Amino acid sequence: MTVTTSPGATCYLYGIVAAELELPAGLTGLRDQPVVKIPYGDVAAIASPFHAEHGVAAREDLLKHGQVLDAIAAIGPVIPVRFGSALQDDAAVETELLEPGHDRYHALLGELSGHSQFTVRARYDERQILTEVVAENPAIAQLRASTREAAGGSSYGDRVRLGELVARALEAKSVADGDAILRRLESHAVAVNVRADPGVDQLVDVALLVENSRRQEFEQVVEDLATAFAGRARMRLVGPTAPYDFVAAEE
Amino acid sequence: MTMAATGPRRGGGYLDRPAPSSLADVIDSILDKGLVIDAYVRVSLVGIELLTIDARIVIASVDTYLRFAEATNRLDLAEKSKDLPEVISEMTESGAAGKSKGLLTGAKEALFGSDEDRSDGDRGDEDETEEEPEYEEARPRRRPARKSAAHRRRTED
Repeated sequence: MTVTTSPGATCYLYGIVAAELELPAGLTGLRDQPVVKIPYGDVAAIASPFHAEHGVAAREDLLKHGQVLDAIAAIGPVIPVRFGSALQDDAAVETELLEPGHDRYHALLGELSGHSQFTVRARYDERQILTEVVAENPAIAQLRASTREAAGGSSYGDRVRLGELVARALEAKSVADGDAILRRLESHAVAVNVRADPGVDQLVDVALLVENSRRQEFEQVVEDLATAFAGRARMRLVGPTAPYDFVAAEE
Repeated sequence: MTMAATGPRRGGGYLDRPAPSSLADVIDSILDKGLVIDAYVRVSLVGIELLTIDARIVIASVDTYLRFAEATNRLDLAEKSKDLPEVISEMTESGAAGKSKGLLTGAKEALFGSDEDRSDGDRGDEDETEEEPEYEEARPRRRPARKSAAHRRRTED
């Protein structure tokens, strides 16, 4: 099966799968275009027609990109391609993407087979964690008391100072709690990608590649962590998704 | 049948299991990830990329410090001697769990909206503080400085 692209359309790419993988019937991609396989050897690209003159993509396109990949990840291993990538036509997909990378993609798909990505994020409960911070830091408690009394803008500098101290204290806490969470999680995953620190009040933002056969055990660990942190932090578990964080290894 | 629960929450109810399709999750998970290929066309998503960067700058700004200060000042610590376990159970009972969106969460969701609170837009509160430059050095260390974007942002103000 190949894409027949209309004139002016390019091949928008979602990912790379094993050639024999059967796509879910009726799967549509960006702008509701049909998603198809472009096979080459043992691998195949997942693509849909895209008109380049649309140029800038919309939020829906980003969501759609993820939905297509996750739908495919649910039935077999897939190497996600970075959002926004399109090649000129079917022929270019074969000659520029699949042919030169064939062996590498085939090997990577083998490694990803039987695994799913999960993402764990934890964010402090604001009131609770600030209460802890004030209780544990006399300097903060003192500044808090003095800036509370001085109403209006008279204590701008003090308020910035207070906020800065609170931010630092939170940061120290989030490093300690985040490390503890990571230590619990990583023994249940085959690979871990700790993402760049996204904000002062976030303890952890980590992607984990988990064996499907150990999924229940992993989810139980996350449940237990969420229970242990209840009241102090909210934990989110996203997944299973396509292995977005585990395909970037450069040749 | 233990696998039946398919709602957003399962188990003890302390763990959020959002569908992986909320915009905030997708942006964090997808935008800068995946196999990089030598593309013929690179569909640009300039708007969202810049917003992401700006959101991170807002988090590290003096404006954020002021919000922290404000939040700290608003706390009701009348019963200071209370020890942690009590506080925790009180917090849990108060039902604030999860829904207290808080200002700390703010920047990104203020910019993008989230599925839950698209309606109560508190957009634009990052514009309220004009005095920013004086306090430049107060940035938290762990955040990598995004200099060019920070500069651009300031010159727009």
